[in-house]
Amino acid sequence: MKFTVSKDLRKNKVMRNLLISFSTIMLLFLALDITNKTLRFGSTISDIKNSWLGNEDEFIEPLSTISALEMVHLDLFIAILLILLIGSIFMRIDTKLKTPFLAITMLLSIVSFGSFIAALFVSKTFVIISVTSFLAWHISASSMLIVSIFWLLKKP
Amino acid sequence: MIDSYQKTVITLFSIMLIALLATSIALFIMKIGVEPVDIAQYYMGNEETFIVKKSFEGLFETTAPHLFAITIIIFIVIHLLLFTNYKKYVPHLLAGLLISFIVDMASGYFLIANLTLFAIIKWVSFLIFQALFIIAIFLLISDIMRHKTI
Repeated sequence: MKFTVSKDLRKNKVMRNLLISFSTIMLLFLALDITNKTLRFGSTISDIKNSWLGNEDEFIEPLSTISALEMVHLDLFIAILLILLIGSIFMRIDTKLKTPFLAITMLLSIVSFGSFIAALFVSKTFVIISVTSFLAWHISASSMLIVSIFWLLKKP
Repeated sequence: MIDSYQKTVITLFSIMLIALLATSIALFIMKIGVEPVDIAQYYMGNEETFIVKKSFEGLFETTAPHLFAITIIIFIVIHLLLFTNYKKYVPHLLAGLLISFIVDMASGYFLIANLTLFAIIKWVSFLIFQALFIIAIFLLISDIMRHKTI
């Protein structure tokens, strides 16, 4: 965890290359996570509603409570680690926007998981909130990674 | 003194951890149950209620990712606590968390070997782990809230 204590990461060539590679692969992960969820649940709101809540007319079974909770449990763990690591790199960038940027990403991910549970147990309207916040936190985290990559590529 | 960025990261990280903890408790209750009898039935099976006995491979599939994930989470939380005024509690908290976690994980294997006593041990160790984890997060949040931001 040297990168959490080193002041200017760009001065260390190995560390800089390591973090650029890490950030690039995490960008790929975020893109694949969206692709994976799209393939699993569908690409339109009505497809997602059918996959999550079921549809009697089309004989689609709803998502079971246990499998939904297992999905949230795993995705939440990944989100925690991912945002924490992205945050550790993003911390070095000298901009006043870094705190709101990170707060928005974390809050959107919390909203995404919370509204997913609410969509299953409270109301169908939470499906749209969950999908929107899911995409939003992925885009926000990707932006943080892109900014970090550009910052790492710039000479100190 | 900590900056607003660090305060935001640690506060929201703690909130996400509480959510993670809530899902693990919910999963435990829904999949296994709330009492030691339910734990014994879940692992050892019950012909009357058509519950199949858990296999070694099945248990191992759960243990392996949890060993990695929980150890990482404990490491992050404990290492953050080392920078707070509560660092004197860290050795006890760490020992308690690790022991209860290992006992909780190992109990499943003893249960499939028909050692019923481990249903109670698993139940107690699960409760101790969750309680200690909540205490660790609470200490982290309370320390962060006391600091003035720069």
